[in-house]
Amino acid sequence: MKNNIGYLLASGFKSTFKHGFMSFAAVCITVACLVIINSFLLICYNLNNMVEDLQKKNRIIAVIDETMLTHDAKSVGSEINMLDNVENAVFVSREQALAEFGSYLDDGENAVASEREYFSVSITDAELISDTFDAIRAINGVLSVTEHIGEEEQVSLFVVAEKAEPIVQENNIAQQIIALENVAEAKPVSGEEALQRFGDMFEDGESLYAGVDASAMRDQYEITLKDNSLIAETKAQLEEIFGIVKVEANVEQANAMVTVRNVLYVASIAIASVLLLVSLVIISNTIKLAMMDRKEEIAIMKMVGATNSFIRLPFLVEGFILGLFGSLFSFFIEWGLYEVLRKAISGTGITVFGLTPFVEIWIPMVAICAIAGFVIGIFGSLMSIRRFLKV
Amino acid sequence: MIDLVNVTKTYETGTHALNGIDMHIDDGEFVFLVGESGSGKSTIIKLLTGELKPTSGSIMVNGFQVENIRRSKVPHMRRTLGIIFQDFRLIDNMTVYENVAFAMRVVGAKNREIKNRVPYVLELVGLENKGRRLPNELSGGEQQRVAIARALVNNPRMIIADEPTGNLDPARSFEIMLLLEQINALGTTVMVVTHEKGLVDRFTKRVVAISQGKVISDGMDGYYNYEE
Repeated sequence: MKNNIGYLLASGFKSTFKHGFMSFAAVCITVACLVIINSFLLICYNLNNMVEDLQKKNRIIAVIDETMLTHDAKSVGSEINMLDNVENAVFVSREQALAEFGSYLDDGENAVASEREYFSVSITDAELISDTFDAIRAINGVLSVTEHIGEEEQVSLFVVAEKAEPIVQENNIAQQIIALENVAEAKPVSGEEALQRFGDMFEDGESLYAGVDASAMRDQYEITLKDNSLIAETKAQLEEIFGIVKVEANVEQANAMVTVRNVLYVASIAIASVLLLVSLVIISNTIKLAMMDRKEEIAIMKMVGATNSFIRLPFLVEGFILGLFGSLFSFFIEWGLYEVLRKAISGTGITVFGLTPFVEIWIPMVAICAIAGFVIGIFGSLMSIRRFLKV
Repeated sequence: MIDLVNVTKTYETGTHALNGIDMHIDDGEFVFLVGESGSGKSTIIKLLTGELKPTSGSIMVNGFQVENIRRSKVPHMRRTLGIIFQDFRLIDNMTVYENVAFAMRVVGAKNREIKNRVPYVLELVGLENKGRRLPNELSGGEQQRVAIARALVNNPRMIIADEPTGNLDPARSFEIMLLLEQINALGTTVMVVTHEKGLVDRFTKRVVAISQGKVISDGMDGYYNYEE
């Protein structure tokens, strides 16, 4: 046998090209099967990434009892941190909460520096804004005026009134604002409404802030979890801590995502292995067909006294070459298809469905193609030759 | 050396191919095995080459006990035999030289040995100038010579020829038989399975006649005494 290794390798290599059409058919089928398997794996991989991204955005908000001092509230934090499933709890003071509130409105802290009520002033001509600005400021009872550029470049002003001013005077302020040449409408924004707007910045914002008194933003904790699947338990534990009045968490959403991930995981393994098996059967049948016209050759080999391994090796080499070509072609075809799809999706601008660029995952893809091609080629030829060796 | 003792073979279909065959062939003998179609000749060859196992009885082939031989030993047993078929069984896409060299590769011969031995054997069968031809470029008689060269190349202890002249005209048949006789003269045991009475009669050799799975005559007088 050892005297023949070179000869056997060469004859396997030669016969791959000698039986060109059958080799071509086998390679085509390998490519088709591998492209299907790989496409499926890539879809699963990307879906998994998307779910992971969405999961990271899912957080718990714990709201602290109003009556507690800031000092006490901070001690609540250490209690939260001691919980098993809590990775991190960040303290957000009243001031910070308000500051965030302000930054979300894009117009600095001044306008909403306290729970004071304010007016939102829409302007008809943006060019005249500085005049209008000064004019409003000159009005008696106005504490501060802030410029605010909203969506679609629509400019408006936030006017904060002196708290001491009675409602009657506020109406006067409104009247005086309206009286100005460049002002179209002046609408009072109550504390509730301000809070409502803040809430609207988030998904589920309404329920998130439903329990909060509109007069002030409360101290709160923003909690990130290690394992989202335990969100319900963690929520219950948080609620038992003294000083926390309310815990808001998207339990259902988190659980749904964990379920989606688990299903994806199991489904991808199951479907990929079924596809691999189907490929193996198809390919072994193709190779079997290729071997049919060499049945006589194999019978002669056996009659002359060839051992099974002597007969098998050229076929193994052939299977290996076919598998190699199959995996090579399928890799590059997959690359092309994937990039086309990725560009098409990124062209739509839907960021949630962004696919990972192929260059970041090409190494595992090469490994998968190589291993699958190897397995399909070698086992395909082994499976199909077995029958002919029983002479 | 071949030794068959009370060998029977019944196929799964219920056909009784052999009904207690006793036959002994010593090293260096030349034996004709004759019988009509369906008499059991082909079954005997399949038993001797290990393609089939006997239903009962014992078969010894060149020191291998065939009825209970391990699968992995079958190739080694076959290497002690050179088998020649009626339809030549050459590999079409290999040259004459390659067809013969191939049998040496199978047994793990070195390239140097192959280069020395194959031309010698081709010369022995009279094909020294046809090494580069493909089988289908040769006449039937030449193709059978290639098959004989292939059977000879590994220096087997015994040559089994299954109807070697079945596809040849009388003149070519006679040449092939002469060649086999020459080979026998060099010391190799030869067993020729045939039903060509005329050909057998031209050689004075031992003739074993089989009918309905039994040996009906075994004459050392070289006379084909089986009556069809």
